[in-house]
Amino acid sequence: MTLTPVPSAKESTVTPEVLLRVAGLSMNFGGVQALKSVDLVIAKGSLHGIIGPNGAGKSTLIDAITGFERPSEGTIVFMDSDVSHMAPHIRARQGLTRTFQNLELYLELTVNENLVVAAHASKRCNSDWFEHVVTTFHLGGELSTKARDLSHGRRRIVSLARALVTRPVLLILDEPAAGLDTHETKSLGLSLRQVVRDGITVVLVDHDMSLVMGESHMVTVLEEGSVFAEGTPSQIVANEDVRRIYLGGEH
Amino acid sequence: MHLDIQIALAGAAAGALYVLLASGLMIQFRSSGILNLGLGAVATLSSYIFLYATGSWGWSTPIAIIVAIIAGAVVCGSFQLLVVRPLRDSPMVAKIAATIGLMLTVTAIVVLWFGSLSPPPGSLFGQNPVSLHVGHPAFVLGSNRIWFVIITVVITVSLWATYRFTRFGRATRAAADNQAAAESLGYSSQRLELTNWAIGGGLAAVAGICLGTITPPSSTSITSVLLVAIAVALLAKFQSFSIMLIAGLAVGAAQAIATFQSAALQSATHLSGWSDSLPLIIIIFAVLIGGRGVAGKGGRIEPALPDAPVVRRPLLGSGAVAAISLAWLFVAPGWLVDPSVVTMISFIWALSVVVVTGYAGQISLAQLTFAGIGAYIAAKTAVVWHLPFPFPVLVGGIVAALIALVVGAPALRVRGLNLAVVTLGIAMVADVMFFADTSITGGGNGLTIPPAHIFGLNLNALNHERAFGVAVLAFAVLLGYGVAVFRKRPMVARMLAIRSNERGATAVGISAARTKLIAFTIAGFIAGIGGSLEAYREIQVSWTSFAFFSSLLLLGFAYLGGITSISGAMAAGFLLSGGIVTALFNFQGNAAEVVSLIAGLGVILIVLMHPEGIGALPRQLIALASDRGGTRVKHSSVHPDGIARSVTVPAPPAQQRTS
Repeated sequence: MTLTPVPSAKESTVTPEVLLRVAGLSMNFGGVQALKSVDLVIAKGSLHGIIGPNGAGKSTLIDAITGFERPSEGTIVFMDSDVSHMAPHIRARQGLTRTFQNLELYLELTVNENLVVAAHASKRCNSDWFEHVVTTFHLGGELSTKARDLSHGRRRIVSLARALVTRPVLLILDEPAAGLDTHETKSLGLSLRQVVRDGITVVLVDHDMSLVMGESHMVTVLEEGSVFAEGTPSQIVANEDVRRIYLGGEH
Repeated sequence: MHLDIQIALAGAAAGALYVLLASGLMIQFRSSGILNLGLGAVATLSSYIFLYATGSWGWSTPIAIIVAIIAGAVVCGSFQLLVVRPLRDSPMVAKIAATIGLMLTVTAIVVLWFGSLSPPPGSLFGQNPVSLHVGHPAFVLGSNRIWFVIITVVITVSLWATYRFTRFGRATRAAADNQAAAESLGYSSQRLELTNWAIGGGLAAVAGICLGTITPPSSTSITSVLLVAIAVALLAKFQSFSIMLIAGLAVGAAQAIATFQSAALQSATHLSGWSDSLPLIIIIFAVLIGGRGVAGKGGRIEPALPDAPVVRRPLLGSGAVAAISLAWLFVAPGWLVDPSVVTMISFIWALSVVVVTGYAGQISLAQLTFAGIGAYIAAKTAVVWHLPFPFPVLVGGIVAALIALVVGAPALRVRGLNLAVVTLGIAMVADVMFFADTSITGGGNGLTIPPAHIFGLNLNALNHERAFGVAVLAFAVLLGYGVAVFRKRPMVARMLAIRSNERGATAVGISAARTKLIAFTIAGFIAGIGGSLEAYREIQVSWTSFAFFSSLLLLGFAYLGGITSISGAMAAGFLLSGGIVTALFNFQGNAAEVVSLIAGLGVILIVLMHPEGIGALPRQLIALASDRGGTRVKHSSVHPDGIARSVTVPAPPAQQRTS
């Protein structure tokens, strides 16, 4: 079943501007249907959480939205233009940027080089923004360290910062809290609030319930390749079906 | 028609040898992920051991066969132990360079041991025609070819059964799929890999022995055979022995028909060399069809190439090199002038490898093809348009750049080893269809380019060597300076990002396609300039300098020198055949082989112990010396305001927004 979000008092006065609209997105991998006609709307300025059990199609959905996989069906409209057939790097230049579950950092380049390469690729980045990102994530002391020499947690932060220096319009985070300890996760949450305050819309895909539920304005639950439920965090937590299939163990 | 079938049958029987070599390649590749470009040289070694043992050494045939097979197995086994194993976590370029090192070493050993002349073919199976009792009149096949087919079928079936039904075979397939998982179950992946490499060497030996009974191989001819074997293995997707058997026989038959009908094919297509090109065209398509436009998720992280150092003061650096080289060109003894020119041209070629492979991480085994195209265009423009020096050199560079742009297109779909194989295939097609075609390039006779003159100065490479050397030096210094300046540009940062992680680069908005094509184009331009200068050096341009085989050697030597740095390219220039190092070894007769032996071993040692290459040694020594005095930037980069001042990459873009 799908929940229609109940508009809150604040939201009902102003209709939120739609930044990304995914319609009827399906994806087949040799007979396996990884996504089944997924519809998704991301409002501008929001932090939108996506949760779902392993194999629910979360990463596939990100790959399809950002162009790393070609969907079998469906359209992706970003900032009122159809990006369904654009190459991934073109989508990135238009402000649709992502991070990866396995980071995909330039390990043998320094942190600074990792960031500068990304900054150069984007017309929206200037040196103020660059420094702002470096400060937000406390990367100043590690700029000349090679990414290979960083701890796993810091590498995650660098991969997030690398995506951010391009000053994206929409940033999709693929499990940014994976492998982070409680303290690091908490500080990640604070940084994400800062990112949203900076005017960047964020899609947060993660396993960490407290992070997603604590930071998101809206949450979409994926299950076996389709949208199972959608609503505000409190609605999702209250949803009996969601609790049964997914949250059961934790709540 | 009857004759066509007869010829196809004979060709198919010869194709059996491809199957043996392809099985060896596949078994070694599946166990280690390394495509052994040295396997052909191993086959040659075994072939010669067998031929000399049964010939002048007077051994009995069975013993000769056993010893030859053991030799193949031992060479490949020890290569696995000493090189393949330690290279497990090295980048693909290092692995390819190492197998080129094996090829160089074994080839040099063969020549030093047996001399450079091929022995006469052995008569193991006889050549008597045997009737197949089919057709009117009945088809016949030489007895040796019948034996090839029998041996190949028996071996293929036993390999298939071994890998399917034995504990060893299952373990090998499991380890190929997931090494860690197989090891966690108690299989020694090292022992499996060693056994597989030894088996692969043994198969190559059998192929070599069989080949020795028709046409004993040479180092270049066996490499062509090896390429066909790669095509066959690719058709079988490095998976299926049965597909490999069918593919090998089919390719052999098709080649024989193409040879037989070569006149008809040439008049229909105006291109020659179809018989040799056919398997390569198969390679190119087989790989491209399997390719993927957007980089996929890597199973594991591709290990890194060494750092690409920045030359801090390019003007000073290239000025100093220019001054020293200029002085040298005037004081060098006469017998060292031409080798110095060769060294400078080789430096230019190695520089092109630094850009495309060292910076952008794209393995191109066609760099000397671009050089050859540059040479051809330079010669043509000088002869036909009467363009004076140095314009033909520039035109040669530009045309080579355009060709490289086209040849680089496969890099948009295929990566790593597959790209290396495709470019090697393209290089060999260019060899047999373009450079060898007498009607286009003059073939073996070559083309003549009018000697260079500039402002009334005679730069004829034959009798004004030093003056010509200065002209070449000017190009070498300009290109070296250009690459040093280019290294500081954001474009190279993008190349390094692509080299390091293509998905990560795409995600921040870098166009992988554009970046790779720019790398290919610039490298093609540099190689083309080098080729055009080589044309002026030779006057009578011979195309052997631009053969695909030379491109393989170039990659090996570029790695030996240092594939990521300009100083590495300089070291490679000194070492490449015909350069100063070869000249210094010339006091003894077989200098080329000695240098090639040293270089082969050197490539292997460098890959194992010092991947930055020989060219990095002076720089590292200086760094080591100055390190004692001061602290390293790396450990002192924390600044109170949080921004490191010591970063070497240019600051973020200057397109400031006034907001």
